[in-house]
Amino acid sequence: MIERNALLQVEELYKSYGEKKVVDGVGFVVERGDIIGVLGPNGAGKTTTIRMITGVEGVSQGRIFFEGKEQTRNNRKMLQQIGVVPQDIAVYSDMNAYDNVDFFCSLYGYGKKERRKRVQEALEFVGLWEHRKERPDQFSGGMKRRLNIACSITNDPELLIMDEPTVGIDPQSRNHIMDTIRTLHQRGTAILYVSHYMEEIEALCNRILLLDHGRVLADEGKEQFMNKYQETSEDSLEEIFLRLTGTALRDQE
Amino acid sequence: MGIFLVLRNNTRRNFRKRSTYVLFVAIPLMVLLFGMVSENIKQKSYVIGVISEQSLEWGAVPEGIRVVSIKPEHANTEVIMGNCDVVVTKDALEKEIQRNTKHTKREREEGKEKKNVMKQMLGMVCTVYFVFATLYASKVIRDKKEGGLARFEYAGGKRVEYYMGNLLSTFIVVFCQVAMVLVVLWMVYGENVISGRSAALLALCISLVSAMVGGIVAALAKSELGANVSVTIFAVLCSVFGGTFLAVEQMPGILGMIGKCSPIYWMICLLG
Amino acid sequence: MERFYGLLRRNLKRRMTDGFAFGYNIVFPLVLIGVLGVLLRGSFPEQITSYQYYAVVMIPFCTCMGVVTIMYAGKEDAFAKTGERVMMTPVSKVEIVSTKVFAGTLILGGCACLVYAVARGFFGLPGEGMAEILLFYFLLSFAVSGVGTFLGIAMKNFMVLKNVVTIPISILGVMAGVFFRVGSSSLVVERILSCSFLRWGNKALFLAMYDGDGTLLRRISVICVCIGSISMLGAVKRFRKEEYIYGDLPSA
Repeated sequence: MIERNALLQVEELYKSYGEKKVVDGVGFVVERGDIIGVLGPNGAGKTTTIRMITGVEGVSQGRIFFEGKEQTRNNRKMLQQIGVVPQDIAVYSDMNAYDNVDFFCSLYGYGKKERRKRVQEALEFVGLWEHRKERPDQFSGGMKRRLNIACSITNDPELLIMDEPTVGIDPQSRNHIMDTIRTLHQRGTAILYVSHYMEEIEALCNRILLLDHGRVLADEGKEQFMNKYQETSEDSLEEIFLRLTGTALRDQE
Repeated sequence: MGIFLVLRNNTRRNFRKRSTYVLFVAIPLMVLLFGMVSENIKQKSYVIGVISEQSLEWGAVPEGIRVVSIKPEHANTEVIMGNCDVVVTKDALEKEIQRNTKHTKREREEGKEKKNVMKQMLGMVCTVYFVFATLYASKVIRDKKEGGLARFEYAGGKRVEYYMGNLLSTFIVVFCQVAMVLVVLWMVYGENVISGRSAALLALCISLVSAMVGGIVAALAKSELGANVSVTIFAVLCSVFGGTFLAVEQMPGILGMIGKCSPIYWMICLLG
Repeated sequence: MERFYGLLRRNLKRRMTDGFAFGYNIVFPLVLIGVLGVLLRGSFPEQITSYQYYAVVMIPFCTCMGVVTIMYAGKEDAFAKTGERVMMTPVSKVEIVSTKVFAGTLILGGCACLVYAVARGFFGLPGEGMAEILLFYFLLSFAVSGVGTFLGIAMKNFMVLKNVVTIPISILGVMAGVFFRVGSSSLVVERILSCSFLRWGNKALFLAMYDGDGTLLRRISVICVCIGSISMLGAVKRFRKEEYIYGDLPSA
């Protein structure tokens, strides 16, 4: 059933590589105003799900709806309205910060004047406007992550998918990025936030989507999730996570 | 110890690739083909082009002379491209044949010709292996990028040990391939053209020089493309100056001196 | 169109700043023309000087050697890990492929024309058929860029291909008389030599410049357009998002 107010609806997604099922019936809804924390151990299918939503990977089975309309793999209209911050720092090291953001902005089809305005806004938003003429290889880890975000928000996305955007950076940079995310959310952007850092999920998100072995283990509001799965009032999100997914290493995945 | 570990590891990496074994076969075949074509070209007759709109019939011509008909509008091109040595009208054909009969009677020093062809083939082998050695050696560029070299240094190894080990492993794989090429050439052309001792010495020297060139280029280059392009340019220039196409002794002045600095010239000299 | 221009600008800038296109297609041919011209002075008939001969044969050869840089261009987004980001924007595979081909065409063609201009100025190449010749250089560059993009984007085993692609080009170059003139008394060898497309290209150029006959050059130009177009279409058809994002890299 298609949810009328849903921005993004994912229904019974399956993805297999040969015999191996990587995504096994994942379904969820993202509504406007949501910040959904996507949790799961390594190999749970988080990144594969994101890639299927954005069309990078094909879908073995299942449907994806954006603003009520079913999407195919070449869903350019949907891509015009979403932004993706990939896990790897995906910028060109031979171009300065301004040129990087400008180039990725041009891929959304904006003219020169419009692009200039959007690029400046994006760089100011992440606090890199003064460093716009420097190249990424001259940046610290935190600055690279912020540039990575800037390249993804020039199209004022309705939905921003962030795949572990704070990996490998200091607490100050992480704090700045989290403030950035809150501001984006206040402006009306829905956010799908993938992270292994429980404190970030607890601080930012209003809903939690827990994946494991390609399936949805939990899809609740944050408060309901904590109430449902806490055994004591002191149980942290991490402890709940480990209890639900187990403590065994995931070396085979 | 570090050198040995890198040598062993990189040699294993090289011999795990299928392409290494394909080249064992492909390169000798290619060089032989080059030699055969080159030999055939050197047996060229004196070719007289006769201007005619239609193909002509003419009587027997002396050995060493060939007559072909060419279109008048293509006369210059045929001469420029070496398809014929001179262009004449039908009336002047007889005279041209008589003029050139005595020039084509030359004693064929078959052994000397084969030696010249062998020199060209050696030049080609060196050129090819400068490039291949660099391709093998440029795994050090990837190791730098992926962190393998950093990990080696964290374990107490020195960077120069890593480069030396890489160079030696390149030498081993190139030596195996060059030895195969030279064995094939020795079998095809015989002791008169290349002796077994020369072949062994050449295999050693070509592998050593190629590995050194490859190792240096890979150490200095920032990317695999850069290494590829740089060594191709270097190899072609060494080949040109080194006597693959024209003997160094026949080169004018300073170019002859430059030619003697080319590693390919040294290899050709080893042939004798 | 903005997406197309954005990608085209990026690809052009990349080709211009990485230096290899210029090295392979301007410096390398000029050096070889100079060196071989000096070495083989006096070995040519009265119709042409050694410098003029090498100027004519070296330009198409070096343009073809540029296929390696174009192949790498097909993989550069995978190497830079930006392929995934590009794929997550509303850009189409046609735009990605065509901008790589057109950028390569402009750069390789521009370099060829520059070397031709220098050769005309310094070595006195004849001026006959200049417009057709310049057009041929661009169309040859289009063919080379199309093939290079196809090999870089649409073929698996990129790591193997990149190592070996210059060898057949070098062999075809030797057969075409790029390093020394080749002609033969044997019909068999002549047939083998005529398998080299570079030989046909050189013949067409000499016919246009020295015999004033541009017919073969026009035909070969049309063939270049066909090769470039087919390769470009092939690259679009065989375009795989996963290949574009990850490349055929050992670690992928």
